[in-house]
Amino acid sequence: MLEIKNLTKKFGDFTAVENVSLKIEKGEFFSIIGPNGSGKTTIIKNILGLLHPTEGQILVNEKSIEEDPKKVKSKIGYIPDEPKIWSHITGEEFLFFSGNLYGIDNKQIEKKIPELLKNFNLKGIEKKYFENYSRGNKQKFTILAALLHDPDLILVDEPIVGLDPQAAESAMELLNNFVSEGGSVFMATHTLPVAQEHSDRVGVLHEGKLVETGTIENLREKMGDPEASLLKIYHHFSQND
Amino acid sequence: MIKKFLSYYLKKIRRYFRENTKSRVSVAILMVAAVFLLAFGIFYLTREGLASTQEGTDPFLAQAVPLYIYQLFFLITGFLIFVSSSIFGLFNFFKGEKNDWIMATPKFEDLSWVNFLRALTDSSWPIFILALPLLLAVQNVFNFTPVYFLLALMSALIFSLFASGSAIVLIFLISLILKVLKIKSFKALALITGLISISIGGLVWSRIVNIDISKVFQVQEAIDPSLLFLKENFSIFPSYFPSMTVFAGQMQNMESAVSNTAIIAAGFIAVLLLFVILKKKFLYIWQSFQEGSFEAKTKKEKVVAPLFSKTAYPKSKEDTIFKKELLVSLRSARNLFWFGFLMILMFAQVGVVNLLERYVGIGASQEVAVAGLTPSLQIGVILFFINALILRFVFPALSQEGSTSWILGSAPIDLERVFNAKFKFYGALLTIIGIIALSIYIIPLTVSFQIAVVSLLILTSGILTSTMLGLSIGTIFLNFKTDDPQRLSTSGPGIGFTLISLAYGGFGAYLLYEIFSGENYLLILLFLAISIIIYKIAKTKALNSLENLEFL
Repeated sequence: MLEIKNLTKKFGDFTAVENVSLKIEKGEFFSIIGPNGSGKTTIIKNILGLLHPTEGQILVNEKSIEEDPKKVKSKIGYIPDEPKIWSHITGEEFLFFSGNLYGIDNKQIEKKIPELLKNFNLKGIEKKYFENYSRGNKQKFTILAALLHDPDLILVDEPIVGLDPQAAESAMELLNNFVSEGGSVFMATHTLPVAQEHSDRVGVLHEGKLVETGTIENLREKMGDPEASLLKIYHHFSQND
Repeated sequence: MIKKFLSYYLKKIRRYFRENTKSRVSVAILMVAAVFLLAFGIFYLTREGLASTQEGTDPFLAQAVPLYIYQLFFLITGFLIFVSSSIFGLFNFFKGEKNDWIMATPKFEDLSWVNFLRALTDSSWPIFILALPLLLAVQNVFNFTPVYFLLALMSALIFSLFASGSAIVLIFLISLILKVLKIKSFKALALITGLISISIGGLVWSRIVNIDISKVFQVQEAIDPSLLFLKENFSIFPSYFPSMTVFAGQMQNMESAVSNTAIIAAGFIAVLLLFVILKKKFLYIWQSFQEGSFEAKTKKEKVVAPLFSKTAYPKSKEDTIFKKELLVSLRSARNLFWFGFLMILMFAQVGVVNLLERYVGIGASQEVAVAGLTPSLQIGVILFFINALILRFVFPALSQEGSTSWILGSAPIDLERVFNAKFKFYGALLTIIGIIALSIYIIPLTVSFQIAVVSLLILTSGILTSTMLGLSIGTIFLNFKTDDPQRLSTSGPGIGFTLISLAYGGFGAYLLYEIFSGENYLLILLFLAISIIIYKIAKTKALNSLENLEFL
């Protein structure tokens, strides 16, 4: 589904991501964890084509984002860490707008919207402007927009920041359902319990380098502590680099 | 507070020059040069105009016309300062972004002072550029002594502070009344402020356009008839006092100069005192405008469809962006206010044409001028204002996507389509405005069908080319670090666009003059060819830069 080959991204002299390689299968929930500035968002932006890799290659469904960006992007759903949307657009208009950008027919969007809104109990506020929404509600609309075009891969940057507990649960349930239906999720997060609970595999990123990947059990084995929490795993691998 | 404020400005200037110092110094030099040129233009034209009124022996011409010019100058600039301060006040006192953290500190009252001082300085500095050369020209023609010059300058500056401060006080007063009436709608505040500004504008307009200047010249016997008549017409506006100070300098009347300066100074002190009283209620008022139409309501209410939401979403991706531009632009109160402000400036020109028509006789007797010069000048003026709109709205159009750029960047859409959609939207909007302005400008001149068609052709191609140029330069020098259109427009590339577009607009107007006066219609082809070249080069360069764009 997603293959990253030797990805390096430099900003001038600064290397944000260095020689990262990983593969995510169809129906897999992969989480990447790492401290602030470790390069998580930069990797997501490279996968999405928002940044150009300095070196390396990214393939989605065996197609390169650099060679066929439109086709690759049409298969990806993106949930950014900051749900910044135009202030004077309503939630409903944003869903139409997103759907149209992905080439979905208006009638189809109209049919899908009520179902999508139910996921987060958003019915009744969809005709209000984004400037009137709380951060959490903005985030909910970006999650729904990412699901609208039935992508194969969802890229999530801190999915539950700003969501209330019930909405956070709904969001993770949506992502889990998406995975169980054959979709793949690449999630960057600091919320370690969420990553531990939902991920099939985890990658630890430290100063732009992917220092370890594997299932939680694999990682525990590697550090020789079968009971280690993800927080402990995170500290272990990010300090021993 | 003033010390802190000055230090804030100094730090701001230092910060500006810290990065890209060479290019920013060049921008600063270019801006100073542009301001100097403008000031020199005002000085030269005013001096020549005033000098010509003093050539004859007619005392009415020598006194009434200069006084009329002073009154018009201060009335119009005062109104523009008032409107500009109103827009600033509306969006910075109660709706300023990132103000929450200041309002959460015990120093929250300082924000009202800082904004008040910012409104005064930001809105009043243009009077320096406009009034100083005007006063120097007046001084040059009438040999003002330094005391009269200083009084006139003081009067002009205090007046600008008065105009700006009264706009802020008005906004505070309306807000307070709304709060007492439990109306927590920012829209209501914006609407009432807008309506008051329009009403004042209407009054200013009626006094300018409907004045019967012939009356001034008909009264032959009275000693100083012009004063009486002009007083009747203009004394209802505060701009009357600085005008009278300047006129007192011309007439060497110290008592009048001092008393008029004192009156406007008293007015400003009154405004200042009112602000000091009203600012005590700053937090009380500020709170109510933070609520907005909050969604967490327990009671079910009827959902009202927002503006333009009924228009169907189009099927093509490009048209989707077009609709987004339409919604985002037309629903933003800040955009609409600025748009309205520039429109006021543009259509104020109609008043001048009307005056020329009625009093100077252009159109009635000088057919050569009508045939060539006047329509050419009008096209130049329209292109000038359209370029101002392009600089404010089109040039920053892509940069303003800023924090929302992920939406377009992550979608399967060519950025070329986004670029084209923005061009279509602004090109169509500005062409419509240009055609309306052209119709209003040239209908009173009763020009021939041929002139009208050629003017339309030149104007339309000029607007579309300038729109493409503005959008392209803004795209080539894309800046996602800020979405503040003022900051983007006054950057080096913004100034560059201004200079190129002014040269292009001026060239268009000149060619039009040549076409009309020499009836050399082949020159239209030259203008069109140049326009197509500019359009093509600008578009190609912009699209090339989009190919390598990164969304940091």
